[in-house]
Amino acid sequence: MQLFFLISGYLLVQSADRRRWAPFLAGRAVRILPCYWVALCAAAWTLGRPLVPAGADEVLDYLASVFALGHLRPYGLYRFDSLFVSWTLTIEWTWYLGLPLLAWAAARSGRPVRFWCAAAIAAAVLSHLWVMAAQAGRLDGVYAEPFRRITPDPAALEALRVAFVTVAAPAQWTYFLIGALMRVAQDRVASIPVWAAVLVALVLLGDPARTAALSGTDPTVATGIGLAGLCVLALRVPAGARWLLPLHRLGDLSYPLYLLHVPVTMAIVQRVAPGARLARRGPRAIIDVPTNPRGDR
Amino acid sequence: MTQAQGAVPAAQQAFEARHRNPVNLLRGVAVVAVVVHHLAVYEGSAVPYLSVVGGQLGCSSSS
Repeated sequence: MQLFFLISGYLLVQSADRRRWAPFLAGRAVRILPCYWVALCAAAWTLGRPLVPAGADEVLDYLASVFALGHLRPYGLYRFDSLFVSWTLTIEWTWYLGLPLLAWAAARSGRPVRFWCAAAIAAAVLSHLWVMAAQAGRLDGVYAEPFRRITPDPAALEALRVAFVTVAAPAQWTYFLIGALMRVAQDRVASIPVWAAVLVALVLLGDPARTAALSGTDPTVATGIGLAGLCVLALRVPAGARWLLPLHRLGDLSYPLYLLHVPVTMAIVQRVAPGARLARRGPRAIIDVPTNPRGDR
Repeated sequence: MTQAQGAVPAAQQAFEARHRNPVNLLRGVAVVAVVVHHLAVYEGSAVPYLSVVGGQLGCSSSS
């Protein structure tokens, strides 16, 4: 997911530079929502999940889900998200909302590279503090009521905390900002030695649990730096390498594949092995709770 | 050359342009990482390295 965030930062920073706020947001909505709606309806229909609100008390949650803002309305995500990756679109929206303002400020600053560097550092500090506070339970009050609406089971609190608070938008902004900085400073990025990029990527991405433990937060800013190393390597790949064609073709299909791979997997498992108990580990509340409301793990 | 015959090279040209775009390559890597990670989570295991790139909740612990 974080690589997608970094790519989004890399790609959109110049697009936001060239367009006003409203056309930029409209462009993003046109790009994202139609495919999302088709995928959402298809997944809900296939999995037998709700397509419309059952009552007036669910309308706001439903609308949040329709506009891919479900991660701000935990009950809405629990009730109406049949794709199980929609939460990342909410994170993307927060980036789209803030990006034009940042691009405007960068242009006004007269030193865009320095501005984006400062913004990336500020985002890294904010992300780190956010995750630390979330992990310590200091932000539990943010969604206390929606969590109770999802389940009264106190044992589910930790999973819900990770699913909705620890990984919320402030924890992820650092990845977008790293991507944006890489694009703005692409001349300097091009001078980074390949060996250094390999080293950074291997050290920071090779053992994610260790990296998270060392940094004290999970997700961690260190992952973003490791992914930046990976991006530097990708930018150096010789153009036209035929052995990479399959990956390029997957890149063409990345959005629909991304949206549909979880419901398709679930549908296949339901049909092939209807009695099978899927492995359930970690804070997988977004998938576990809606499909397994009794908490039968 | 007919219009229909001309359409194929145009599509190929567009693909070739994307093929030369490293960001498209990264998109491919990202989606493979996410899909592999989710399949591994379903199966009850974790894939080192890919889990951090494709992690379900953006956390290594989610795998």
